[in-house]
Amino acid sequence: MNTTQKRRAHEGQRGNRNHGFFAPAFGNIINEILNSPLNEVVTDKPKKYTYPLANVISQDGTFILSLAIPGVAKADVSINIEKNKLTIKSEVENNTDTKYRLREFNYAKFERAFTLSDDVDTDNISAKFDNGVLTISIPTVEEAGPKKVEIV
Amino acid sequence: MNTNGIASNPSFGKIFDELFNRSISDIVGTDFTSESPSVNIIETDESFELEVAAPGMTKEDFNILIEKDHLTISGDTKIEESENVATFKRKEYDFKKFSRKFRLPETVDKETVKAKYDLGILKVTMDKTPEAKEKGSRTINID
Repeated sequence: MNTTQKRRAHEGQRGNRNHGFFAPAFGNIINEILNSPLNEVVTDKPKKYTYPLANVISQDGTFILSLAIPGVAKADVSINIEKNKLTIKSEVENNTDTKYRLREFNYAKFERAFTLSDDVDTDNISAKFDNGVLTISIPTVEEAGPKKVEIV
Repeated sequence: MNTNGIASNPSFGKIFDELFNRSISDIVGTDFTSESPSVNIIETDESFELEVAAPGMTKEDFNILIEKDHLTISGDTKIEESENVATFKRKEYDFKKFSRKFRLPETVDKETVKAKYDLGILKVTMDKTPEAKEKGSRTINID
């Protein structure tokens, strides 16, 4: 290896290192734009808190809502139902001393609300919290369908 | 985006707020599913701590690999039968299969990498090399 090659190799390495220091894999940018509130995308303000993502599945007449809130303690989460509005929130103060090299999520403070349909059986809503996923089971009551009257 | 029963609601009352606090996906109408977990990296004098927000998994689903100066964290979850039967009304995340790669700084002692999965967060800790630790915090006495 002559000196030029050596220098090139060296520069390449250095360039990479400076640029790639703990650099996350590219690909989360589109994610972030599409999943964050519009005001966070439009303004340049650094994102402070993460909006928790939700999956909803329908199974045997029950809606199962899975909210991803990793790192949050069960005691910090509150679930509230008022009329047909289901609200899930957490309000934890952040430890400001922590030095972040990269910060893509922070679930300390959030609030997410869902509107429930009229056929939801609000008295029988149950929730469990496992491995950072808050699972809320929302049963629906079967609405009385058209009744056939027999002619005697 | 009609969810047939459960609709995502902005938490603020005003119309202006309502518009601006929604995801673009809510307005545009495209469903976007996040498939790559978010990561935080914390630096202390002694170590680096990498937090991968991958909820709903078990520790067996993760694979952590150190190759030269790269750290790759991947996840691969077996799909349960019941999940195939259920219909998704809304799907904003799916971390069943992912991979994220990081370049480790020279100050990391690769022999000390440890990992733990708790509350849906995979925490990977690695100590700094003794040299880096010394450099990190040192008081210089004035003679």
